[in-house]
Amino acid sequence: MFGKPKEMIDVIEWSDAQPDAMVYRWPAHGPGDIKFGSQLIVRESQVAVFFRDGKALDTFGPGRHTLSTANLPILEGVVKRVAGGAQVFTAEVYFINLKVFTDLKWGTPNPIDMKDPDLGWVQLRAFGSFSVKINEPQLFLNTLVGVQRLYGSQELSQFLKGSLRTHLNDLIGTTFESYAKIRGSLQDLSAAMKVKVRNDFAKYGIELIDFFIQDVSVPEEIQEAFRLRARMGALGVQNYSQYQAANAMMEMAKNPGGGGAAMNMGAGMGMGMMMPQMMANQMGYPPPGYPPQPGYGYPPPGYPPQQGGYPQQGGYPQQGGYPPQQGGHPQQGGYPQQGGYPQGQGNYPQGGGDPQGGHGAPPQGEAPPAAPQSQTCPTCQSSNPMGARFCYNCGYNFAAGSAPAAGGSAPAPGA
Amino acid sequence: MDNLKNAGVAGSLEALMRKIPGFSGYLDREQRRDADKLQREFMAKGLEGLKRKVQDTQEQLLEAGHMKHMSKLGDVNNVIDRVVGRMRHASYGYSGFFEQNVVNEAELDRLYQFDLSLVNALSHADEALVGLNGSLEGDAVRARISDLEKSVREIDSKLDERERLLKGVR
Repeated sequence: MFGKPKEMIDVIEWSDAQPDAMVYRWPAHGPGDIKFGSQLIVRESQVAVFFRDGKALDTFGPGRHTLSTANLPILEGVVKRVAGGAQVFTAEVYFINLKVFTDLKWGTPNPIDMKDPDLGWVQLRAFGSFSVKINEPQLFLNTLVGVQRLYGSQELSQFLKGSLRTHLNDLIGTTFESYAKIRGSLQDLSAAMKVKVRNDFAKYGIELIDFFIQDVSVPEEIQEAFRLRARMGALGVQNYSQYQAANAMMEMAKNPGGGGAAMNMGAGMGMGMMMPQMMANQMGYPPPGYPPQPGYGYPPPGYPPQQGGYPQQGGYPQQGGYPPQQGGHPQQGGYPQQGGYPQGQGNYPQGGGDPQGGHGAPPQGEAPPAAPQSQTCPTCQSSNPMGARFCYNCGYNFAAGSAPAAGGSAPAPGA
Repeated sequence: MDNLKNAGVAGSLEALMRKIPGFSGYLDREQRRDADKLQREFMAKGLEGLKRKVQDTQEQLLEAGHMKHMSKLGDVNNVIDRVVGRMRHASYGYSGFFEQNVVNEAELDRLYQFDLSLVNALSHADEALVGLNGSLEGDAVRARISDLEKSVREIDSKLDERERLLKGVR
């Protein structure tokens, strides 16, 4: 950044400013002897400050200045004469770049903790950019250049980030109730941050021109949950279990053949548990715990068939307990009784006797016992599928109850 | 000012001289650029002062928990910045006015009147801000911020008119 020391020269200027250079010091090291009568060239958007003994002294704006005791009144007292009779004084010249330094980046290396009503404790991260301009060159020189040895905008950006983080923490912690509200107020939050940090910048002679928050984000897994929620909303699925079940069904449809054993088993188990309620919701059955509405004449799908059939109209019988049934509990909840359900006693009917033969109400969530899937041959004790007419092992006739013919072979298929 | 026969021109000039310290008017060709610069610098400084006050108002609103107004007031500040920039860095693209020896009284009067209205527009913006600071609570805040923004934008459009006016002087 610093050029070659140019002592006792006739022209002092800063002509090749780097894009992020805020300050240029002449000479590069140590003090320089400046001759009265030499030229000081200050370009547009620059200011030159004479500096001596750690203090900013006379300041020059844009233009070509011939240095003399008239325009350097403060330095007049330190003039010395050198060989040849020239008047010389010792000082450093700092050129300050007054342009707007744009697109300085900031971010939160450590996350900001926030209690969100929906998400619980979440860790937020934010990043953005800001623009600054030196508006009080002498103050800037005395506080940052002279003390911190800070010459470039990137170094300045690093120095000021602490203030940004502190105020962002404060604003988010005290102003917002939820992450969703932060997302909806990024513009106001940016403007508020500008208000909050401007005084921190101003004490160094820097004006904050712009401050932008580009994003405030949560960890990736929470973002994925947001996306999932949006997908569920788009599909009209109300909860995660339903969504998973629907996904499993779609996967099964895609892969009807191989690779399905484990998936079929898992999906089947899940579906077996969830489908009844899903279908009940879809078809308008009341949720568990609510009395049936007029027109809910059929038990929910999946409920085991009852002997004698279901009543066709008017719902379940209103008196006399459960309708007769075999092999299975009534679905939890949803059974009517006269006068509605008693408060605080669960959803099972209290009057009209116990349809289960005194076993009481089934525990919640218990699946109905499965119907017998096989029949045992009384002759050879082999297990045969329910409904088989003959024993596959010894040929026993289940329908007639007769022993197999001699030879013991099973009848031909189709017999 | 002795050269001014028209009492209206003298009146306008006097009013401007009272408002802008050091303002000498555009009568003498040699002083026209300086007078123009003084006028623009006066306006720019006035607007910068207004911006500082708007920022103070923002701080008060933020302290009171009214974050929703931050962005709108930020917009007002952005408009002020733009107008200040235009005031400070206006080019002398209307050299006819600055170079010609004599400008007739009617044109001068129009210019002084216009500059006076520009200074008055700055006062209106100040008043709008005072109105906002008088009621930082309630539903009226947004409406008062809009009033302030409108008054600042009015200065911006007056600046356009002023440039057109100077270019039209021949």
